[in-house]
Amino acid sequence: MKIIYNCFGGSHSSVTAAAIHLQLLPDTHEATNEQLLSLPYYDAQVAFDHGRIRYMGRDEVGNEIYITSKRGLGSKYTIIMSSILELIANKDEQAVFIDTMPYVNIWMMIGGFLSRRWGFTNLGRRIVLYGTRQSYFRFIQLVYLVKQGLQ
Amino acid sequence: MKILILDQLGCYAAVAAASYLVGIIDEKPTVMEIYNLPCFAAHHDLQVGRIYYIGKDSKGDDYYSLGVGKEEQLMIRSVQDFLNIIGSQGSVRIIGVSLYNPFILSILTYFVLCYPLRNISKRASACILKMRFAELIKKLKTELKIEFTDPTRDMA
Repeated sequence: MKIIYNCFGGSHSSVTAAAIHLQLLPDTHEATNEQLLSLPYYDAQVAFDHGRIRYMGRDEVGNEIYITSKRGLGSKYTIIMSSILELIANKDEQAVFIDTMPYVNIWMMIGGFLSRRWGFTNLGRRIVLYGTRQSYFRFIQLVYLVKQGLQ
Repeated sequence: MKILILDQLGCYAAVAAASYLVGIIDEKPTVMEIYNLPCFAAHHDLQVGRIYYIGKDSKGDDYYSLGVGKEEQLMIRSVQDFLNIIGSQGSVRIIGVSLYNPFILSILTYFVLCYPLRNISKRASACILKMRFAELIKKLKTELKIEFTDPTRDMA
C-alpha cells in the first residue's frame, strides 16, 4: 500500500509524520533539532516542487511512504486523488492520503512561511523547528492512528 | 487510454474541450451547442474532485473532465507522480484547460447555483466560452500534437 502524507508545503509536518512512520525519528520521545534537520526534504521544498510526490521509504510491513504538498487545497486534495484512483480502477494498488495539516501549529506556519516563502531561512528554520517539537507528540499520535487503521 | 481534462469545476472549458475531442461539437460551435452539452455547467455545488464522463472517440480513448479548483498545475504534477508510483503512467493523459475559464466565468459559476438564474448564467457561460474556444482548440492541438480537419471525424 502507498501512504501519502500531505501538508501545505510538503516541507515540515508531512516530512515529520512520514519520518516517524518510518522510524527515522523516535516515537517515544521528542526528536532533536539535528534529527529533524537531517531528514530528507525537511525545510527543503521550493514552490516549484509543490505537488510532487516524494518517496521517503518503506515501513516495517512493506507499505511505501511518500510525502507531498497541496498548498491551499486542504481536504479537496484527498477527494481529487481518490477520484483519480477510482478512475484508474487499479485494484492491485491501494493508496491512503493522510492530511497532516490539523496537527500544524502557528509556529510551524510562521516559521515555514518565513523560511520557504520569504527566504529568511535562519530565522524561519529556528521557529519551525520549535513548532515541530511543540507538535511532535501529536504527529506520533497521528502515525499511531494511521498504523492502527491499516491493521 | 483515458484522457482527463482538468479545469476549476470540471464542467466548463474541460467539458467543451473533451466534447470537441470526442466529436460532439466542431471547431466553431454555436452558443446553444455548448449550452446543450450534457455535462456543461452541471455542478450543483462548488465541490471539486468530481469526474464527468464525456465520451469515447473513434480511437477508443475515453474522455473525462475533472474539477481541481485553483491549483491546476500542482494537481497535474501530483497526478502524474501518483500515476508513476502506481505504475499507470501510460494509461492516463492529463490536460489542464483552467486558463480558458476567464474570471467572469468563475463568477457565473456562483450564479449557476442559484436556481432562478441558472439558465441565464449557463447561457452566459457558454457565450464566454465560445469567445475563447479558438484558443482552447489551439491549446488542445498543441498538447495532443494532432491535426484536425473534419469536425465530425471522431463521431463514434
